[in-house]
Amino acid sequence: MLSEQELINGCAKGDRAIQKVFYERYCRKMMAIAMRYARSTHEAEDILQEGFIKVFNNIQLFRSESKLTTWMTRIMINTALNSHRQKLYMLPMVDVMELQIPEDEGLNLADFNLSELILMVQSLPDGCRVVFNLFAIEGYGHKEIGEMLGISEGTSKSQYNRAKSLLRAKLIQEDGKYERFK
Amino acid sequence: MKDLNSQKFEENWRKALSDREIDPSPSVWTNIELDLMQTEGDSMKKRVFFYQWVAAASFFLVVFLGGAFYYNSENDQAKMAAASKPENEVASKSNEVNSTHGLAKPEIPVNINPTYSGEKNSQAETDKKTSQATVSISLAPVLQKEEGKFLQTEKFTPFYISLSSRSESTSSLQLFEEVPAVVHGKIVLPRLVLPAIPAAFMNSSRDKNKEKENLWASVGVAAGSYNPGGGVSGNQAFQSSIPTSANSGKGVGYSDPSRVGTAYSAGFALSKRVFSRWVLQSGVNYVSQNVGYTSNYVSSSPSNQSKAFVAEYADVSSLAVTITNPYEINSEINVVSLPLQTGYLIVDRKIGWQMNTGVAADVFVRNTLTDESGNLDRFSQGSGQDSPYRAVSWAGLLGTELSYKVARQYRISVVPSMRYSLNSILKSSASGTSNPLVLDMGFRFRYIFK
Repeated sequence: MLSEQELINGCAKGDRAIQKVFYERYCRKMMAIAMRYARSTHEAEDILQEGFIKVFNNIQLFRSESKLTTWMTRIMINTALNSHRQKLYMLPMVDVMELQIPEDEGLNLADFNLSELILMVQSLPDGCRVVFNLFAIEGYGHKEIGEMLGISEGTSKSQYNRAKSLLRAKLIQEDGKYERFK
Repeated sequence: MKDLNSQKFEENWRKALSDREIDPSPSVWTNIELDLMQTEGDSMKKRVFFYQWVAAASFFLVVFLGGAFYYNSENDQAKMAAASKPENEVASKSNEVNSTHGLAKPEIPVNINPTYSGEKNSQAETDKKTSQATVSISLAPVLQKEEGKFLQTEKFTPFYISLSSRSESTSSLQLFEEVPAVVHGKIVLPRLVLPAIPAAFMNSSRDKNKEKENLWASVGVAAGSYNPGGGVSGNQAFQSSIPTSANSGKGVGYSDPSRVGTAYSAGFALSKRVFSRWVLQSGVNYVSQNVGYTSNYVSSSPSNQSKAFVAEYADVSSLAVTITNPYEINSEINVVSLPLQTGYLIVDRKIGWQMNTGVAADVFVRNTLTDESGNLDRFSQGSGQDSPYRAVSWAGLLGTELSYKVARQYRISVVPSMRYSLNSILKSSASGTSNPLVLDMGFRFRYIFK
């Protein structure tokens, strides 16, 4: 089995066989990320494809100071954001009123399968979905998200709150599944 | 409590969605592979097209230099062939002296008076379509009339480079505008018309990761054609200073340089990249410029040694001069050239292509005149009061350098180039001017410092 460095070197030389091995090793992880940002599987595969082409074309710029998967994740997120950027500009990213969310809900998502959770996230409006992913999953602050998306920190917060409430609503709607967390 | 609850919400989702894996469809890799192949194909096409362009440009440059050299050689031969007639013809028209004995009779100076110029001009108009040489002669008297000065047209044949045939064919390819001119005995070069480089080839290199060559030294040699440019035949005072007894009935003194000689150089250069594509280079070259003369001057030293002599020394030499039968001389001028050039790297890869331009300070070393028959002694003169040559003259440099990286620290290159003297290499006190033009092809070996 080829080491990570051997894969990087092979890809930098444009070795197609090694590029394929590289892809097969990391494509599933990257697909899971793309799925969260996309509205559909088809859109996620477009992000994955574009992201991997960027990875192959720029792999000689990768420095071992960071983890390879971290670097690739950043590329996938940027690719996803670029594919959404046009839509985000067109969407009214207005502040949303703080919703009263019950505080005693102890959510445990462990019993949900991945595809169900992904479908819930994909059902969010574009702006909410992007902010939710960046804040809740990637761990960016609202200020950073505001700078990344060209929106205010307040808008990022309100979009996140909206995402939260929508997700809770989704869970409530799924009565049977929601019952499992009671 | 609310914050804690919120944190738990995010933590739950992070746990649920982070580090998960989902299989994409097999078509994704197929699409990636196709995309990569297309990108590489485009890149390869661009690269191939680019090298084709470089090859074509190099070809035309070689054709241009070869054509210029060939034309000059041909013109020189034509001039030599015609040289047997004109002096006698000139003599018969202006002085109405019919001589059937050639050089046995005294000849008139080759200076053309205004009356004769007009005649020559009108005749030249009828001859205009036959040869460029005729056209060039016809222009000189017009200039003479305007400036009220006399020019020695036999000595100041305008310099002319063209790839066209000497007949006026409008369909032929010309790299210079057809504007030959002789002004005050100086050669005015025609304007060079060069093709523009397509903007697409001016892009910066995409290969940002490669090792940059920032400092290199090179040694090289070059050989090519040498055109002395201008002319000298000794002034009136010098002519009249030659005693009649020394003339021996041989006619007027003259020394005609050939239109084309040869130039050789060897040198060392140091180049430094000052910006991403700009290079500054300097060095030192030893240059030898050789041209043949037909002269009938002979100098006599106090020790009664007869030496080869040409008219360039007419105003500065204290030697006694006599006139004899014409003989062939090889004149060799040696200079040490100190160039300072800027270069622009058009291609900076394994194959390199660089355009260079700059100036050179040419430090005169010596001029050696050698009688090719070996009957006369060699005449050699360095710089100084007795030399008609300036100690330092300036030359403009223009050239290109095509290189190939043979190893990590070595390149070999071919360097077609042109050097033209910006000022006359003869002193202002000398009778005449000389602005040499050298077209040469050099070969260099480059060592790249790391």
